[in-house]
Amino acid sequence: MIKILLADDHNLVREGLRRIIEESEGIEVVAEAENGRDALQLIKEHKLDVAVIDLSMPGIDGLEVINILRETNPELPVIVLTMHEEEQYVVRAIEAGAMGYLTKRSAAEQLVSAIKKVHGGSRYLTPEAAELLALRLATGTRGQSPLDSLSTRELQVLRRLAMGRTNREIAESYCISIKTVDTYRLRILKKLNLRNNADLSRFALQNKLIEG
Amino acid sequence: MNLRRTLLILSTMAVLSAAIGGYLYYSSLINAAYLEANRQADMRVVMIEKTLSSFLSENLKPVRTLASTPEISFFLTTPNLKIQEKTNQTLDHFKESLGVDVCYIMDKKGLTVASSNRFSDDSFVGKNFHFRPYFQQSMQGAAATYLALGYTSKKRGVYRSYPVFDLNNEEIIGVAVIKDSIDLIEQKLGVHEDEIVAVIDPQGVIFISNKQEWLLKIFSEINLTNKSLISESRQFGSGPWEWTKLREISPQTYTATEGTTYIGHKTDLEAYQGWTVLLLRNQDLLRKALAGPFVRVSGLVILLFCLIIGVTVLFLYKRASSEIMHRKTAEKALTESEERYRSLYNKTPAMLHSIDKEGRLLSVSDYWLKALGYNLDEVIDKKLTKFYTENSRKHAEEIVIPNFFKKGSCSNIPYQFIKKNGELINVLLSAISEKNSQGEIVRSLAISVDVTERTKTEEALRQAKEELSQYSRELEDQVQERTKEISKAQAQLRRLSASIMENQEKERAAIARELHDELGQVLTALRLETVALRDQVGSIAPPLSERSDRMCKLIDNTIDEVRGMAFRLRPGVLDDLGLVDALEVYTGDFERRTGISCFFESNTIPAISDAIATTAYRITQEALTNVARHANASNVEIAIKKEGTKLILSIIDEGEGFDANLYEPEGLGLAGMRERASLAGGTLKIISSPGTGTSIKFEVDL
Repeated sequence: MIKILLADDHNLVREGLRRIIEESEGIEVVAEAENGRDALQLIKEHKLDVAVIDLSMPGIDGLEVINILRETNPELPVIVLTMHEEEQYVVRAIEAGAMGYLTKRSAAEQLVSAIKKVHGGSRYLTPEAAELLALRLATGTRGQSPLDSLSTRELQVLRRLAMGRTNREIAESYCISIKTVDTYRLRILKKLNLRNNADLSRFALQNKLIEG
Repeated sequence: MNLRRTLLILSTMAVLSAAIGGYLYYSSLINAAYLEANRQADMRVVMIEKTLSSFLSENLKPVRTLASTPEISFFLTTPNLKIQEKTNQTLDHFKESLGVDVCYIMDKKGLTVASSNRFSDDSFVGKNFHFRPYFQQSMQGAAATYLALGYTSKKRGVYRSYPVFDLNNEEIIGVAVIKDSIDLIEQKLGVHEDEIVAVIDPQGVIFISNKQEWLLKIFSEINLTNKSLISESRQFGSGPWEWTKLREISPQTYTATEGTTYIGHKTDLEAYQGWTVLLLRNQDLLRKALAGPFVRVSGLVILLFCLIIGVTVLFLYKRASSEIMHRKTAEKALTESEERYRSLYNKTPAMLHSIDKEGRLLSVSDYWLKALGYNLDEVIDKKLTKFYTENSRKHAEEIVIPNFFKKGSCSNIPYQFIKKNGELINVLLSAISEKNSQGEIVRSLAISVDVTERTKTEEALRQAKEELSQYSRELEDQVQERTKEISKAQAQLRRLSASIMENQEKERAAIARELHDELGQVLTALRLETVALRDQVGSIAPPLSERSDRMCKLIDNTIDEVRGMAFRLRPGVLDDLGLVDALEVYTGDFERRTGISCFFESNTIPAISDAIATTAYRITQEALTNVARHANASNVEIAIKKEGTKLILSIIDEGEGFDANLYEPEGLGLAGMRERASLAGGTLKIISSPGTGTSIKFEVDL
């Protein structure tokens, strides 16, 4: 049985989540917390396999809990469960040390598999979040990479162009116009002092934006 | 007197004096020559007399010889043919050898008994000449000479006689006579053509002369009375002894009827009692003769000299004349200028005066008199200071006037004049000095400007200014007070505004959180249940499952709505993750919604206050809203950077822009943006012009 902690300040949601987990096999909710402090306390008291923690909680919020856990319980995989769907949150959470990230909206369908996957030692991320994370990791050591001059969106476009995606595909992925994609491409070329997409690919490989 | 006329007269006189001098010199020369000529004439007349005398006494010895010839005595005592022949021969011999006219012998009765002209028609033989004085004298025993017209021959001659004695030399028995022709003498006199020599007897008869028509005429009018005596003496024939018509107009000067003037030189003829020799010279011819050489030589020189003097004088006169004209013009100009000056002095509407070293008024302008109300004779020669007030007088006499006569000028000295009617006027006096040729200051030329009105006006002005400044101070105080109040009100307003905004933000944040967290959580819970329901009934009752699915989608839409609403109110990411993430999310969302490419850039931004973050976020929001609504732009660049201690946010589009200098279009919320920027302690710059897009820059100190 996978023993988990559910931390969410909202009872209704917590109940719903617990029911989903209880209905599945192999996962058991051993503790429930409605704020960060309780969660940390419960994690101390119980031997847990996975902690599912809401980002927005009164008092110590989710990110702080993760930060603390990274010191106290580095082995405990944490899944962040949040109302926030913005990728910026995902990145922050993963950077803080979370192994998985789930929006509450997709919890009904994905929570169980996420817990299992995390328990199994893997990260659980949406493709978009994964990509962002990859980009952040690539630019990780700030102030030394030529990538620093690029904005997040430019990094995204650069990576996809390097992966051989067409402008149209990229435009569709980010819900922007093809023309905007082209403008990003030109800006990237200019900023990086490159000439064409082949150069872009080479640059992306060298800087570990994509894998060879 | 007219200088030019004087000059003309002087010139004329110069020429005249030169001419007169020349003339005098000339005439003195002539005169000297004339005197010399007269002296020479005097000498000449003596010479002529000498010649005449010698001629007249020439044959005295021969006649004596003749008279003492024995045959003549014989002949007279005892005449016979033989002795007569001998006597005649002797007479002829004497006549021939002496070259005389005739030689003859008279007896003691005066009868001519023998003569050398016995054969001629006018033979003297038989003629009795006892009336002749020479006969009578010789009969007395003396030798005699006599000048007379021949009684028989009618020829003028000089008679020389000598008594003839008898052989015993005791008795005079006759007289021997040698008569010589005067004509010869006249030829020998050697006079000039323009000279007349006349030998005049005591009765005034001209006996010898080179002027033939004068012969035997009476020279002087006064002698015409002697005619009877002349006739009686039978010396000069029978007359008629006319007058020569010569008048003695002055001593030695005579005029003839034809107008000729003669100068006479007289001398007595020696041996002829009463006879005179007269030399007459034609005055005109003489003058001509004398002047001639002078006119030829000196005359030319004098003429030339006069001419040169004349020309020089003329030239000098011309020069002087033009100089005079020049001076006259200058003088006229000077006079006019002086007149103008005088007129200016008198008519200038300014108080002008002059004082001498004693401070007495030498002159004043009409305006001066008018200003003070005096007449000219009431002020001239009076002390200037007499017209001053006591203070002014003291000041002037002790300080200003002594200084003025040292320095030569003074300016803007304030004085007070007392008018005749007792009123006072204030003046400012300025003066310059006039110096004499030694450079001493002799008088002043002063102008006094009446500043009474000015002083009054100035005083009034000063008072008005004072009042105005008082008023202005009061006004200023009021304004300051009002300004303070307004500032206070403004500050209150700003605080209010800031507080309103802050509250608004707070409220928005609260509502957004409420929506997002509470409603969102509920919806999430609902969704969880719905999904559970769907999964549980899915295999049993598919239609229910479908409916559950629809519900699920409906819930999803609602969640999106709620999230959107919350985001628009205030994005949680701004509070949770900070400004950069919030702007990234917002610009990404903006790009998706509008299709306008948003290029967002940022560098590392440190933690910033909520207020600044909110302001920057709202400004970006407002600016991008404007871009979407008005700019018609396809690109917009958003950059947030930290530069030094400043946070700089810029939103730059390449759209249509607007003329930021002319107006700020309403509805763009620019005023609101400014207000926000200002409340956050920052500045907002809006740069825009039609066609080049808009740049909005927010700067704030961190």
